[in-house]
Amino acid sequence: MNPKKLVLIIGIVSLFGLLLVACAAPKLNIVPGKTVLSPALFKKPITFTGSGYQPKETVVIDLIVPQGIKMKGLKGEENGVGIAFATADEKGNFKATLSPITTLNTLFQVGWTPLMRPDFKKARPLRPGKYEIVATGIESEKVSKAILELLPPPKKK
Amino acid sequence: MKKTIGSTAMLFLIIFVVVTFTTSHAAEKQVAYLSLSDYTGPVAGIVAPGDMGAVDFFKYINDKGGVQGVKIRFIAVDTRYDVARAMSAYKRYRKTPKLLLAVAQGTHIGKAIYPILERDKLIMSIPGDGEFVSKNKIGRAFTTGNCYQDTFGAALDWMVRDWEKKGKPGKPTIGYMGFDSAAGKEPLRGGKEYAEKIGVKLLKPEFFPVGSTDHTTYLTRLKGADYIYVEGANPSHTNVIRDAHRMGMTKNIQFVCDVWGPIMGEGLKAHAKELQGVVIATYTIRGTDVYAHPLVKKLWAKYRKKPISEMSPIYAAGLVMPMHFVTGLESALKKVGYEKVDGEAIYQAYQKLTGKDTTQGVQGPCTYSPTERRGSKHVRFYKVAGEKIVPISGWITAPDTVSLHKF
Repeated sequence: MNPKKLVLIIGIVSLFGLLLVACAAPKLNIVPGKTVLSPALFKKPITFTGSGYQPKETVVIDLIVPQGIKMKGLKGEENGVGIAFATADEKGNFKATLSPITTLNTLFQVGWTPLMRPDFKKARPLRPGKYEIVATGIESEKVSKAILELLPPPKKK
Repeated sequence: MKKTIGSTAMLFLIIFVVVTFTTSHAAEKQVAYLSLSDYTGPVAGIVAPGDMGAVDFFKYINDKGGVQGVKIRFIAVDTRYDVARAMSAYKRYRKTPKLLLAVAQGTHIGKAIYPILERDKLIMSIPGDGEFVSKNKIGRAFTTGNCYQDTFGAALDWMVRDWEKKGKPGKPTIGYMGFDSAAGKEPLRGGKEYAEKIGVKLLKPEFFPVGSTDHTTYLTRLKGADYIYVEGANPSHTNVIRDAHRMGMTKNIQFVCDVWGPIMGEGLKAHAKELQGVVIATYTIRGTDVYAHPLVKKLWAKYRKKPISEMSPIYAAGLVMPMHFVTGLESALKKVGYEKVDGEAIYQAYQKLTGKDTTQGVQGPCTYSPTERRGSKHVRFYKVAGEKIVPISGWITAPDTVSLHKF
C-alpha cells in the first residue's frame, strides 16, 4: 500500500477513536447501590466509580435532595449537595469514596458539639428512599447519574 | 393641545427609559465574593462569627454605594467543613458573573480547590497555611494574615525573651500540643526548624484527637517543659489548660496559645481561674482591643443592634479578608474599570497592597506583593487577666519560618 495512504488511514482511524472516547457517554456506578444507613458505613464506605470523563479532570459527585427533605447547611435555592469528588485518570475513569465527615454531615446529618465532636442527639438521618446521585466533570461538564437507595433499618426481633 | 399631550407623553417616556436603563444598569454593577465557610459543622464556633463580620462589612460598603458604584455580592456557602461540599459549591458558583475571589475556610478545602481556581484565574483567601506562602509555590492564594508557623516562631521568640527577662540561664525547653490533623501539624512545618535555629529544645510534639475531653496523657509527657504552645480551636485550648491546671502544671509552666485560643466572653468566664496568665499569639486584634475598635463597634451597633458584650471577638477577625478585598477592588477598578475587572485584575491589585493599612488596625500593615502572599507579617501578644484578654505587646514582626521548611 502507498505509505501516504497508510498514514492517512491511520490518521483517520485515530481521529475516529479519539472522537469516540470524547463522545463516550459517562457512566456512574455506586457500590453498594442499596444500603441501610448505619455506622457500618464508616468501616465499609460507599464508593463511586465512573468512566467517560475528560482525562485528569475533577469529577464532583452530588446527592440531589428531593423536595420536602431538609438538608442541613443547604440554602433554599440549592437542591444538590456534594458528597465526594475525584480526579479522573488518563482514561477518564475515576473512583471516589464517601468520607466519614460526609457520612456524618450529609447522611446522618449530625449536629456538632462545641468540642467538635459529632452530636448524634441532634442528628436528622436521611430517611429511607431513592436518591439521585449525579457525577459532573468540572471541565467537560459531562454528567452521569445513578441511584443510591437507603433501605429502612431491619425490624428488631 | 394634542401636541402638548403628545410632547408630555414623549418626555415621560424618555425619562422612564432613561431612569429604567440607568437604574438597571447600575444594579448590574456588581462583583461576587464566594465564602466557603462552616456555619453548622465542627468549626462553626470560630468560623461563623467571623463571617457575620464579613456580611456586615459588605453591607456597610454596599450601603455607602459600593466601591466606585460597584456593589459586592457576598455568596455564603455552608460547607460543614466538608471538602466534598466545598468542591461542589465551587463547581456551582465558579462561573458566577464577575466572581473574583473564593474564601476557603479550612486548609484541606483550600488545597483541594486551588488547582481549579488557579485555572479559573481567580484568587483565593485562606487562613494561615504556610505552603501557599512558600516561595516555590507562590500563586493565587493569599493568607489572611500571618502563617501558623510564623506565629509559632514569634511565640518561640517571646518565650526566649521572657526566659531571659526572668534571669534564667540557657534556653527554655518548649512543649507543643495540637490537634492530630493537618492544621495541628502546620505550625511545625517551619516552626520546628526555627526552634532548632534559635537553639531552644522542642520536646516531641503531642497530638490529641479533635474532640478530646481529657488531655492528661498528652500533658504528662510534657511535664519537663518550661513553656507549652497550644494549637487548636476554641474551646480546645481552654480544655487543655483546664486539665493542666488540675495537674498542677500551670504553676511552673507558661502556656501560650495560638491565634484561635481562648476567647474573651466565650468560656473565659467559666475557666478564668485556670486560664490566668495564659498568653495568646495572634495576627488579628483580640480581647479588649476588639471591643474598643471604632469600626467593629460601629458595624455591630448598626447591623446587629445588640449589646457589644454579646459579640464574639472573632467578628473582628472576619473583617480582614473583606477589607483586603475592598481595597484590592478599589485599586483594580481604578486601573481597568468595571467592564474589565476580573480575577486577573484583582490578582494584580492584591500584589500592590504592600504597606497599606487595609484593615484599619485589625491586623498589621498589609504585606501582599509580587513575592509575598502573607496578609501581614505581624503578631501581637495578649494575656488573660481576670475575665479579660489584654494586650501585652504592640505589633511585632514575626520571623519567616516558612522559608526554613521544604514544601
